Amino acid sequence: MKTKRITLLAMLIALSMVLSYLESLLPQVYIVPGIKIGLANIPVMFAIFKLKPSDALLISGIRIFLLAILFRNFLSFIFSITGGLMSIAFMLLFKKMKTFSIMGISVIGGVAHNLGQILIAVFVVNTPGLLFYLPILIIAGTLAGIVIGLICNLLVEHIQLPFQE
Amino acid sequence: MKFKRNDIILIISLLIIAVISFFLIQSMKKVGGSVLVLKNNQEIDKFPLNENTKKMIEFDGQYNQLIIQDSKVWIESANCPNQICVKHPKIQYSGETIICLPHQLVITIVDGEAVFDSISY
Repeated sequence: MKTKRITLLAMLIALSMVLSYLESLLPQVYIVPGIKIGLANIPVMFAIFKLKPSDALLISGIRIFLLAILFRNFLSFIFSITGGLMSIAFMLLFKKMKTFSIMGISVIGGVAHNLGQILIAVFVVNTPGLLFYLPILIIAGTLAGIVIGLICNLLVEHIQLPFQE
Repeated sequence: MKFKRNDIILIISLLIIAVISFFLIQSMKKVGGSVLVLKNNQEIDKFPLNENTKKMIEFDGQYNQLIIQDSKVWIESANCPNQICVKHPKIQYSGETIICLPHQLVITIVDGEAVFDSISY
């Protein structure tokens, strides 16, 4: 049982790292810095709905940590981890409230991620002018959340866990 | 697919909030006066926005080529890894910012008269 869980988590972490890489190959929409779909969040959302909240945190945290020490620097680690934690915190909160389905929670996650990143950016570079990006980042987060929500809805419906949580 | 009505309400209200705040911000934009260059949160340079300027900002081999032309500001080239500052659209209004995170460089427009140094007086 325990081994199965560790294996499943390891696979989800590996999957989300590969998805991060795949996403970096996609052509970027350049309107304001930092717009992306967030494919790496698919395994995280899968964990939120099929596994435990702590598993979602583990997958996201370990992915960001590993990517940072492998390819990136400390600053991008700070940005990623803030966005990631913010998005998971909001998704878990709204999942508890049962107001929204997977789609709504995914949208909340996308918007919360961008909010977290813009707030940490304002703090790090000490530039309130960055808040000008906020409207576009809200729209981008919403659209990304819709796409990820559609994918996760299918996954959560059709994938059965090999063991009971 | 089993979506709730709340999802649709959420998505629509987020988009409405974004569009309204976008136009609010657009309507509040003021013409800028001068261009500030900050490195590690310290002001290192200041240029009047209405004067065409070319300035190479260079530290320890890290460079960003700053251009001010027709009251618009952009980074022509830089040797930072992500090139976000180079791809950034031109800025011209007060409060707008171009940031090069890898070089810890911030280019921002502030309003008011351009300040000249003692020599130009």
